[in-house]
Amino acid sequence: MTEELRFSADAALIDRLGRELVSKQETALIELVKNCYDADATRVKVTLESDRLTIRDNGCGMTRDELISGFLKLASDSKVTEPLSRLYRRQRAGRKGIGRFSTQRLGSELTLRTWTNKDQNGLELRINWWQFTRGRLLQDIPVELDEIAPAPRGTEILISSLEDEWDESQVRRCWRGVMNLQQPFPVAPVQSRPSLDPGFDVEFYKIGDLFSDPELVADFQTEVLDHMHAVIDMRVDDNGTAEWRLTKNKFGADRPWTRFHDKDRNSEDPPRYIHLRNVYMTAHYVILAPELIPSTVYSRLRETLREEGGVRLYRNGFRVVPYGEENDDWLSLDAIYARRGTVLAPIANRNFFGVVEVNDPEGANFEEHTSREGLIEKPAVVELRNAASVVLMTAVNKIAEDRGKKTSAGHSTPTPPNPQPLLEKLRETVRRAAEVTAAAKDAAKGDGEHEKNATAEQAVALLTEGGQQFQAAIGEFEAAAKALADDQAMLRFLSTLGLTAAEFSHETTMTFAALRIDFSGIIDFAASSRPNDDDWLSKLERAKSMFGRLDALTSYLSDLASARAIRELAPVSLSRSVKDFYQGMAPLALRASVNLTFNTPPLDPLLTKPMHMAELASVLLNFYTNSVKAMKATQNERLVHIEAFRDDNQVAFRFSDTGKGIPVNLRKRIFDPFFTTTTAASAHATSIEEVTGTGLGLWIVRKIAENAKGEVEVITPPEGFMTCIEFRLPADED
Amino acid sequence: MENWLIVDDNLQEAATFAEKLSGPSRSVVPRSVSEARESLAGGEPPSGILMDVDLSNDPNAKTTGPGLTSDCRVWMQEQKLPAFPIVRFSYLQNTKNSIGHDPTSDDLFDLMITKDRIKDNEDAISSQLGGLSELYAFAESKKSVHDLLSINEPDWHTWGHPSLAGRLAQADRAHLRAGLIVRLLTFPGLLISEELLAFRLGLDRTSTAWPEVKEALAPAAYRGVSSGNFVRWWARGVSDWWANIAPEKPPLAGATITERTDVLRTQFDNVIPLVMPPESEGDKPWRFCILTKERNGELIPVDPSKAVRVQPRGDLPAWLDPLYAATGPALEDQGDPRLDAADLERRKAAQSWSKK
Repeated sequence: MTEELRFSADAALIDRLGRELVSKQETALIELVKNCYDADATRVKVTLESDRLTIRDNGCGMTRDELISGFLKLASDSKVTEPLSRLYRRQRAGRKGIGRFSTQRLGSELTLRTWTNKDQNGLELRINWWQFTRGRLLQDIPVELDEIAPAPRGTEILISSLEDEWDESQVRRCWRGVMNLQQPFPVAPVQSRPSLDPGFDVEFYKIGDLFSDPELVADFQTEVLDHMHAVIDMRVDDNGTAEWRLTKNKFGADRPWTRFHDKDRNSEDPPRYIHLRNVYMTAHYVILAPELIPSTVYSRLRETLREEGGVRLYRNGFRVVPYGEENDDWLSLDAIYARRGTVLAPIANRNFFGVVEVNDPEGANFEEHTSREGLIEKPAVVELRNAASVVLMTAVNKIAEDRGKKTSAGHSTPTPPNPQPLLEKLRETVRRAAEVTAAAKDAAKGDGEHEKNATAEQAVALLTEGGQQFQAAIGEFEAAAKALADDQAMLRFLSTLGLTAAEFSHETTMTFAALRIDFSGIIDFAASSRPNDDDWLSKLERAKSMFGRLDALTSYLSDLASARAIRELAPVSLSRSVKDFYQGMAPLALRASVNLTFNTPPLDPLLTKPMHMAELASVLLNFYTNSVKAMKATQNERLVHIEAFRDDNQVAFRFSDTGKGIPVNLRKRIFDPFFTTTTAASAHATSIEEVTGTGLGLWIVRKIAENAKGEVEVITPPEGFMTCIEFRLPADED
Repeated sequence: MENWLIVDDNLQEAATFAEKLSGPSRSVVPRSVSEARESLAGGEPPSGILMDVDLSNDPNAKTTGPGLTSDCRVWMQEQKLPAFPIVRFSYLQNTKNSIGHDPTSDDLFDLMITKDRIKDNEDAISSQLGGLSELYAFAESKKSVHDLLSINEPDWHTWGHPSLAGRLAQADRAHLRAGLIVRLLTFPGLLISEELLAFRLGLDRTSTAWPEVKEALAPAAYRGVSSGNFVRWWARGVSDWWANIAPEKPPLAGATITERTDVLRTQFDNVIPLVMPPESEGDKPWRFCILTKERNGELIPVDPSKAVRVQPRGDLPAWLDPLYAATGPALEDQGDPRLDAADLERRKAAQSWSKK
């Protein structure tokens, strides 16, 4: 006769499973919070008290059936059969069947209260885990279920007789664990995502032994966002129109929504993106510098952002990995930072906490790999990378510009602190200290007690004063050293780039001499081979024109980069510089339809005080490139005129163009570092592209002027021109 | 058929230049230093060599352009090699780096050509190379100065210079004789170019009278070796011609542009006077500005009495003209150590801006 038998389980299994599946108390707590997330909660409050832990959420709650067939049934398969949450369609985060063991891991008594509707009674389940001891069968130990009075929808888990104590670092680890669950903050406007997840906030409260009020110890807002320095937004609408803005800028004015396209950096009317649609980004930006962040949170913030910083990508409300994970650099921010160093404002992943949200329910543009390891590189993804990185860099450049401006009130530019007066005071103190020391020695030799006391008092007063002065001096010196280090780093970067450009120009010029001969021969041959093919001939003409432009530019750069121009510090003829500039630029100007003219006094070289010849060329080139950009943005006839002259003990030139002009309120600011009207280069741009349009060009001009004791300013343009910049230098007196 | 070599450390680039300078009667072939040495040692002397200066990209070169040229000149002296022209052929920047102000290698080369300026001057350069080949061929036979320069004895007595004749007489090798004639043809002195001729006559070359003027000056034209490639006039022949047509007037060098063109108008129609550029002072043009020529190849007239003397890198023979810079370019380039300090001060003091 066949006998049917049943498995039975010893009650100690609960304890064993709990310890094996959930070894750490933080993991247990995180698992419980994940359950709140899976229940479509938008807000969770975790309260830690000395002997109990409460987790209260505003999720859907559990019905009696769900409680019995879900919570009380070991290894229930509800998470497998329902992988998405009911309300917000969240990808369920909790691990299968871990929740109940987590409560057991945390404390020996559990009270679970749940409400599915604020107008109906709720349920209270009570479990004493200490009853589950070896030798008793699992099914023999009762748990108690009661109906309780109505309350707002949600679930409350109360665990008492806690196994362990909780310190702050454990709470913080829990919080970080739950941060990865959902999009940390909404990005797309509500109207564009009516059915989507409104977000998931978790707050941790810890009640200390001596306090009766809950003390907020960690939440996302206080942990990260409160200390960020600015918020950068990007949006691309369903026509492909892209805009960016800067808000909550702690260094200067906010910037309103501004259209952009990474491929047309100077345009006021940039084109629309071809593939990119319905994309939103919000990125919180921080400069991780001790002087800019409260000392109490600096280390923690830096640590948090090292692990959590970056820009995450959420597709249709769900996170797409690995974008924004530690060591992922999908926007090439770390790569740019490594290339640029600390000079051009920090822009590594750790400086951001951001979210990109793409809405593409059909997966037409943003389709995930089946392996769930990122998106397939469709054109829209490429456009997204470029657009997002360009926005972040442009905004960071603006912030850098504001930082520079703000360090010195009443002056448009930062001036390094001057520690000299303080140094003088210190010298005086040291001198007096020496006197007092000598007097003290004399007094010590004598017998008079009164005399000794007076000298000691004098010495104490002097040391106190000296100590204060030293303290102040240290601050001043540190500020001065930092300013100098910043300048030095910037100059090192620029000089490296300059030397590279010089070397490159030298080599290319050599090649060009031969290349232009071959190229000319090839063009002639090609033209004669198809003399009646207009399309072919126009292509050849275009290639010839582009080659000519390249040739002219490299020749001029090579001349500039010649050893003499770089190394020798000598009086430089402004007249000669203008003429050489004209000679080098005329072919380029012609090709850009720019009528470039100049006027120099024929018999006055307009010699400057000793400086580098290449510096003047750099000034002229900067003005010219800005002019061409400005003129291309208008329909005006393109005229550039350089007028060089002597004015008493100065030599000067005026650089005028017919561009769009410079508003009066920006006339001083254009020489500030990082001031630019150009969108930043994309993450994949070359070093040269990165530097152009960063707002460093006119800053370099100003530095050159300042270094030579000269001046540069925007002045009223002569008739027929829109912009005029005057550059003055002291004349050579010898 | 002329057979030239380009000795270079970048054979790909050299091939381009070689092709450009080759023609129906001239083949130019790129060669590395070792290939060139092999070719010379194998008894296959070329018609001429275009020699790069910096050969450091070729790890096997183990010499420089001037070094190899010096070897060649020694072999020519030892008559292990026949004489042939050697032209310095380098990028401007490399020449500045490797040669700079050092004149010691200048005499080794017959001509100096910069690669950077080949494209816009290929016809003139090609013609000069042809002229060099002809000149060396002529210099092989030890002809008299009159035969070499195709000038009769009375004219040579008036228009020539005894020290040149003396040096030619001393030159016992063809390359030495050729070197002297090359300098005579390429630097202004006893012979002057068409541009300088126009400056000295105070005439704008766009004048329709210009061809007639040149025709009238035919007796003073140079007709010696390589005259087809180097169009020149005997400078003193031109002064003699002037003295003939204007016996009552001051000598040509002492006359102003107006005086010169006034005389020319008595002989020719449609004479347009030369206009001195604003950066060059004076009204008695006689030389050209060496600084603008070096900067960008531009020749501008210079009145030596209101200009700045330029010290040449090496000593100039007596039959060549001294060098001058116009005031404007000289003042702009005051750091140039070749400029005569006294002249510079004088020109500076003459300017209104310096009187403050």
